[in-house]
Amino acid sequence: MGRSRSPEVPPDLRRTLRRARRLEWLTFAYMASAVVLLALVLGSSQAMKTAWIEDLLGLIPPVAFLVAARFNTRGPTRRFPYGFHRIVSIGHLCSALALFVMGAYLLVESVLKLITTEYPTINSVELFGRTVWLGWLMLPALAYSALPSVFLGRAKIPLAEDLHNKVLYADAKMNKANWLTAGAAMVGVVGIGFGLWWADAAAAAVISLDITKDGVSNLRRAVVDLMDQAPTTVDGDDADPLRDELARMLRDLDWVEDVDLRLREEGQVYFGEALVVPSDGSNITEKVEDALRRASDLDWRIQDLALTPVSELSRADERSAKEQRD
Amino acid sequence: MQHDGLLPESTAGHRCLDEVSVFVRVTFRASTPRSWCRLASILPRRMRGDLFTGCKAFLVMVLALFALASAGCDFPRDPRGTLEGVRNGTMRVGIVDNDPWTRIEEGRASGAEVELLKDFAEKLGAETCFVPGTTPELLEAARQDEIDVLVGGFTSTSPGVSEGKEAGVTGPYLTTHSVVGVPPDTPAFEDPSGQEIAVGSIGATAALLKEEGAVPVAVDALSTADMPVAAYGWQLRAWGFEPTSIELPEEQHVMAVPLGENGWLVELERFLRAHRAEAKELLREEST
Repeated sequence: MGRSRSPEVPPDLRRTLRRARRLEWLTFAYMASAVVLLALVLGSSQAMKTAWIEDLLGLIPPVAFLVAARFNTRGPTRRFPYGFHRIVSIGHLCSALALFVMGAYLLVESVLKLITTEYPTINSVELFGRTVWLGWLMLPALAYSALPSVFLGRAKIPLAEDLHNKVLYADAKMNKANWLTAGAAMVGVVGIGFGLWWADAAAAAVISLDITKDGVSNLRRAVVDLMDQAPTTVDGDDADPLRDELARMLRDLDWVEDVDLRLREEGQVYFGEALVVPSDGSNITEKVEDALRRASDLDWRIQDLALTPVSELSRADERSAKEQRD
Repeated sequence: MQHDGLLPESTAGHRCLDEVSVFVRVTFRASTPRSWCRLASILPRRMRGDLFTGCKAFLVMVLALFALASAGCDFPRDPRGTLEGVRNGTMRVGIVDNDPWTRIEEGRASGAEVELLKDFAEKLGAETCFVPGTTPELLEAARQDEIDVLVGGFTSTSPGVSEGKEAGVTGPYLTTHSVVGVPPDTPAFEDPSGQEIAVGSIGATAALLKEEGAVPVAVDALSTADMPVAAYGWQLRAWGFEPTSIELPEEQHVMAVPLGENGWLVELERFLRAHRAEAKELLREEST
């Protein structure tokens, strides 16, 4: 009872999961192709090089998601009695780190370029027997690397919310970072074309602030989730209302006098313990089993709940229970 | 389209429209809705509107760039205006002595690359002024915008220049390779390892010889050396040497310009690409 069923996602969300998987495969394929394309037309433009490195880093979240989605539904084993759910949290940490590294790298590089007043040099190539400035070719290459990201990123956010998958959410942010930097690089290349040597680095620096901010907030959330923070929503630091809902449901059972509930996130799903003080101790086994059934019916995310009847809540528990109630 | 015969003033507009047309062709091909239809079927329905807006925004952007480019037309431009400074003014050429590409004799510059740049200057209606020096000196001069172009038989592997960190580097405009030749009535050999082979000076050719296992020896008069020499094929023929089957790897020749002067760089590259044959001819003349 209460032990994880496999797969963890309920039937009505399987379609969403399938779509998320498909989107991530698409992201992976498209990122890989953008990496190759950019490598072929890479000039010495600052934002061009960073756009490439950032596409390379952009491969990490889809890979993290696909690996996590492959393992997280495996049932518990003797060696992994809690199952493999937390691989999603680890995937989130990896993705968040990639996002942060990208932002920080971009910021440092472009500021350095501005300080050392480096003049970006862009050659020409011979195309159809004509000499064509490479900057012209960079624009469509960058547009190719930017536009799909806009849609991929926006398509992922609702899926991430439905699946409570923070890897997917971080990846959506990565896509946003991608099209922002590519856009900055296009502005930079056009600026260079107009003889503004600083346009490239300045555009990259502005954009990198936004990416670094996303990276830091995702990194922080990934770390506190791994530290068993109480569950939060995918897009922010707000406590998930599901915890209070579950506590209320348990407290409202007619045989329950008081409850101390704590939950933690294990990737997409929640694990936790509830200490309940029964007002009527008879038939306690059936009552506990019924409560657990109700809990897992409440939401698919309540994956693994242990319910322990106790005669009274210890002082510390009472205090935390009160805090949570407020 | 060839622009060689046109006057410098009239070239800008034409070639710019050329580039713009190529650019627009490439972008439109990349943005055909056909390639996006598959994407559209995966996206949730509410995103399709976004896709449409995105397409429109993209087209507007392309058209804006098109309008902008055809209006301005001297694209790309130089941050420090080198091309404008050279046109109908003076082209300051930094030269590093490297026979037969560049020579400084009694204050007069000559050599294949020097002649080539004189033609370029003439085309731009500019005077030339030569600044002799060493590579580090002239790279610094380029950084400080004291010279407009730097030549000295540089190749795509020349240290200091080819990395593109100190100066902008043109694409390779000429490819050469040296051949080992032996004096007449001397037996030819096929394995260069351990052989003493004469070179004009210790430089890129000597390095390539060393890689082959040979021992490069610098001699004053290569054409009358009494030992195997490494030189261009036509030099060997002119000097009466017998070419062997030992060919050294190809060298790709480049010139350098100050960093970031993209308009100037592209103009120079365009000239060099259009004058490859002349460059080869000049090199033959200067080296025999």
